[in-house]
Amino acid sequence: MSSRRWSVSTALVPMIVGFVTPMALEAQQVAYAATAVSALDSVTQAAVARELVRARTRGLPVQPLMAKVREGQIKRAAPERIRIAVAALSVRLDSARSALGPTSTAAELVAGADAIAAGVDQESLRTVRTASGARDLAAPLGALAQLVASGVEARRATRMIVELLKKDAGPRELLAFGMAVETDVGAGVPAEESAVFRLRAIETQGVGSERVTVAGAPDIPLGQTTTGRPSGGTKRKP
Amino acid sequence: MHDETDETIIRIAAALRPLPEVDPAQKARVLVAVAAERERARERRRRVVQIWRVAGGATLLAAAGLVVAVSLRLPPAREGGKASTPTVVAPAAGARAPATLGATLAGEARTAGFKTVQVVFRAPAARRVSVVGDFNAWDTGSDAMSQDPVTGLWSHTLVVRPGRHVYAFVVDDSLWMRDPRSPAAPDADFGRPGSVLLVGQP
Repeated sequence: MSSRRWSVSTALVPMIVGFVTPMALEAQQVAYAATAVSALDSVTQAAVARELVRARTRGLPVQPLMAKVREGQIKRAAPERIRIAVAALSVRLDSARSALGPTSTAAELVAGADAIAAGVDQESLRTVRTASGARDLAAPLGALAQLVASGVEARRATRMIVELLKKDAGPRELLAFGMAVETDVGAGVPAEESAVFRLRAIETQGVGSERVTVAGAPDIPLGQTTTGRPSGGTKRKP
Repeated sequence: MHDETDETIIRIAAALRPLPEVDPAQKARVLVAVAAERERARERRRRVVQIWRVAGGATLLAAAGLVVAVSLRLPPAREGGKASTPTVVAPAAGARAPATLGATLAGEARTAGFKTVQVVFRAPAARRVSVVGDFNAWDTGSDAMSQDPVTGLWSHTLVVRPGRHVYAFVVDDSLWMRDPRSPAAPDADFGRPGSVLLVGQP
């Protein structure tokens, strides 16, 4: 068993270095990633190695998969859960690339995979890609994932993000929008109502205005904005 | 080399020895120029002193702002024991809080396209605190926080891409702490939620 583990580790570390180096990661991260995977038991190592090879063959970024391994380790997850999580992330990255296109950056694919994990479907990702044009997708997809995580229905959240993109909203507005809704939800405002209200506020005040930015700051509750509260005000069920 | 008694040489030397007559107007112009240069040098010294005074004042204001921001955003430490109340000073709307001002400028100058976020954590009894997240591949060695000897607060400046990030704190390499002041990031994979950090562009 120990010799098998040694042989798997010995084969795995150079392979990991070979995967990661072309991605221009710093030497520290390369060594770190190799250490993270080699700390697993031999069975999980072999399974993770297969996932890495598969991802590499399909042209997917490998670094997020390594990070998932480390995340599992730092959270003291069982090896089997780590393996499943890595495989699931690989599938999400693949789905994200199918939706966003082969020229997508690693950061965009990771954001897309996160959005899928939050409940966004491929069609919505395609829609956001089309609306974004050549702009970087990390922020729009991050805002979309946050809206859905806050409780806004995925298709509706997608329409809102697309609407903002058409108005040339930048990463700051998009992410402030997502954060504002989350803050409202935390204060007991239903997610859909908050999203509608916040979107209307941005449209009224104009994209890029300081008031929109201020309203999106995490510590400013909805009641303190100058444009009023959304209708209702019933608290979200825990 | 030559005979000092030679009359011709003595005459020539005598003719050359006296200084030529200086034009009084030229002399006056030189003196005025020297005085002006001396005044300019004095003015430059004054400006340097003023700049240092302004910079010192700004630093003091920033430090005061940091203290105020931290005191406003941090809940009081628990009495005794290992009080671990984390918080992140990370305005999604950009570097508006005093706590982020200086660090943000430095970070943007160093790495274009990235943004700096200052993280503050209260854990007086902790021996080591790290920030981990997707931005550093969950590496506890990447973003170790440093403790202020006076306040006991742990702080660190993250350099992250604009977007949505998930993060948490690791205390003494064993205790996992999410930030209760930021939205929770559900974790379907491992069941240990982190916190959401939304970073916009400056």
